[in-house]
Order: sequence, then structure tokens, then C-alpha cells
Amino acid sequence: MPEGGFISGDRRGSTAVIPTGAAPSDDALLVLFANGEQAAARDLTERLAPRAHGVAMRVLGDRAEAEDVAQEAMMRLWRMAPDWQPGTAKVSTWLYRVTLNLCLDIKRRRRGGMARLDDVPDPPDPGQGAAERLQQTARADALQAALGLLPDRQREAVVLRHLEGLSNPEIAEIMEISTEAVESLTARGKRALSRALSGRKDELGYRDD
Amino acid sequence: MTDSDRDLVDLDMFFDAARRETTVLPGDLERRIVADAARVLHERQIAAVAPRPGRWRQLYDMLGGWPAIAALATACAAGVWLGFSPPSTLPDPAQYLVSDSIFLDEDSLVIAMAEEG
Repeated sequence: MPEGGFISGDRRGSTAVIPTGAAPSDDALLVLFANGEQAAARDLTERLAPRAHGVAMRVLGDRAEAEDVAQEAMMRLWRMAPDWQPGTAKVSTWLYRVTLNLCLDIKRRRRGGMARLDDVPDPPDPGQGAAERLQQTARADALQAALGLLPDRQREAVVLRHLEGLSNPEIAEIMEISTEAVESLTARGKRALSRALSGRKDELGYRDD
Repeated sequence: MTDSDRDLVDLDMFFDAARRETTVLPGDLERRIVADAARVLHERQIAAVAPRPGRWRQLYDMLGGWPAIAALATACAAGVWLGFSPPSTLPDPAQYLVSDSIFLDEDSLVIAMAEEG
């Protein structure tokens, strides 16, 4: 037994070390789930489903479709659990990849369905006190609309890098491209976003310093 | 700096706003996902305890189920029927079973070769 932890094993021989006193890793939870522990599924859902849902929401821009994608991605995680090899890759990386592929499938089915930046409602006239909060929402909405204008791969790279906070190597693994390609996609994506949002500087409270 | 560069905006403000607008997982979605997990576990447990099919069942499945078995039985019955009661245009194999002259003797072979030239 490893120092300071116990080993979760399964009938296939897969094991994952679960440190005592610390939250178990995604790996360990997945092995526990594969061994029949329903509680592990609840923990994994709390950890991973918001990420899948968040990425799907930002890539697709549609609440209902994002929910469907998150549910399907998690379903594939449950079905894949018995075959998971702990320590070979991160569960979150696997889930991000599946989520993006599902998003891509949906976008292929509805080419040209994203909202145009001009279609997004103007930011509401803020009242005293709530102004900052409303402006933040308006900026987030404007960014979401501008993201919708980007080519798929640029949008995915920008969302993973700047909204999910992943590293370039991790994004490269998720998107199955080189790190240099990730850097190129995010740079081009940011440039396009910046141009798209430059026309709304004043209404979104942006000031050049 | 070009004119287009001057029009570019600092995106950090927008990214920061979007990150603060955390997408909360709808409660109903969380329930559905956990229910999916329970269903997958249940299916797996059922598959684990299901008895292994016997040899006859495996043979039955291997042949392709009842349609294939029925076709095989029909073909066998037709074969037996043709064996016992062949059409008049075909030689009767039963005669070979009771006859001693299954094989051509040497004289018959010589005659046959001579006839063919």
C-alpha cells in the first residue's frame, strides 16, 4: 500500500491511488465508479459536468444544445469507465475532447446558425448600484456573440485557453494538434474577436488608457 | 501601429466578465446525468450476473437462430427425400447400394475407350 493512501482496484486490474485526507483524483473516482460505486458518479458529475456544460455553452451558444452535449459527454464517460487506464491521461482532457467533438457534430448539422454580433441586444441602461453587474453581463454577452463569429477551431482554442484556463499543451492534446498550432489559433482568434468587439467599445464601457 | 491595430480592444476585460458569468449546471441536468450513471451501472451489473448460455444455445446463435435452423432442416429433408425417391432423370443411388457393379470392370472400361475412339 502506498504511503498515506489506499488503492482502489477493480476486476480488470486497474488501480488508482486515493490519498487519505485528500479529495480523490478524477482517475480514482472513475475507477470507483467502474467498480460499482454510485457515489463516485455524483462526485464526478459535480466536478466535470459544469466544465463540459460551460465549454458546450460557449462553443454552441445555445442552452438546450449545451445541456444535451454535456449529458451525452458524461454518458460516454460512464460507458467508458471500465476501460479507463488510470495514469495514462487526464479524465478532464478526455471529456473536453468528447465535448468538443459533440459540439462539432451539432455545428455541422446546423451550419450558419450562430447569432450575428448585431443581433445581440444592446446592453441595458444600467441603474445606480447595478451598473457594474449589468455591464459585466453585457460584456460577457458581447464576447459570446463575437465568439460565434469565429471559425470553429479558433473558437474552441480561445474558449479552452482564455475561459477554461487550460495550458497550451493540454489544449493541443484535447484538439489533437501541435502546441504551435494552438498558439496560432488563439492568436488569430483573439485578433478577430478584438476587431469584432471594437465597434462596441463605448456602449460596453471600454476606455482606452 | 496601423489603423486596424488601433481599433483592437484589450480582451482581458471581456474574458474576465465571461469567467465571472459562471455557467451553473442546471439542477435538472445534474439529476439526469446522475440517473444515466445509475442506469449504466445497473446494466453492467445485470450483464455480469446473467448466466452464460449453454452449448446448444451457443450453436443455435452461431447458426443464426430459428430461420437458419429451419432452412437447414428443410435442406436436409429435401436431401433425404431425393436420396430415396430421385426424379426419373437422375440415376437411383439406391441401386448402387444393392448392386455389385458399382465399379466398372476392366473389360467394360476397354470397351468404353474403344467406342470413344
